[in-house]
Amino acid sequence: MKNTVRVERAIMDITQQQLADAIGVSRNTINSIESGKYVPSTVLALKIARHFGKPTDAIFQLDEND
Amino acid sequence: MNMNKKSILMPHACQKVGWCLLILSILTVLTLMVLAKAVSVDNIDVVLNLSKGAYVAFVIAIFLLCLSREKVEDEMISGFRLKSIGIIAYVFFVILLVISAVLWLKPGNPYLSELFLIALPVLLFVLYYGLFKWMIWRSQKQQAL
Repeated sequence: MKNTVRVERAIMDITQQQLADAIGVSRNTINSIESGKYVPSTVLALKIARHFGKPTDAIFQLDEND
Repeated sequence: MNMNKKSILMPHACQKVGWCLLILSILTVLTLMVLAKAVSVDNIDVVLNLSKGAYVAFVIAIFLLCLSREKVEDEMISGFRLKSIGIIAYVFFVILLVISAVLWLKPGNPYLSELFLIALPVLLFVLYYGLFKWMIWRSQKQQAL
């Protein structure tokens, strides 16, 4: 699954740590999500989308392998 | 959503207690090993009690380390825990098969004493914790790259 978390974060001008604190996970988890090494749960994906004020499918999309 | 929010893990502070107990037990064993030759037969009970105490402290330390929260216990960390337990389950069954085969081929093998069988669960928990911490370290290392 691909995502645009890094882009959205850049638009909002917040650090990984700030996003991590806002949704209650570690910076390591945010980094892993951004680099595609970790696929978040539905709850975490919804939290991230809500933080950016966008629908979940605007941030997370299925890729060719899914 | 409040589903699955209840955690059975102990507070993160228990991990610090666990590390202190672990260091204490290892230091006790190392001291006993160094002093073992100098101890007379009269004091052997003291040495035995100390070594038993060190073992109990070690077991409690492993228990606290394995079952206390990380500083930020999020879903990725929970995933690492689950993956580690899964791998250890495989290791456990391999060891079980090896022990069964050895006992079948060579009954009364001295290496498979009751002491070893008692220590096996502790060894598996040590492996679990090592594997879990290695997974966290590896993901942090990839983050740094």
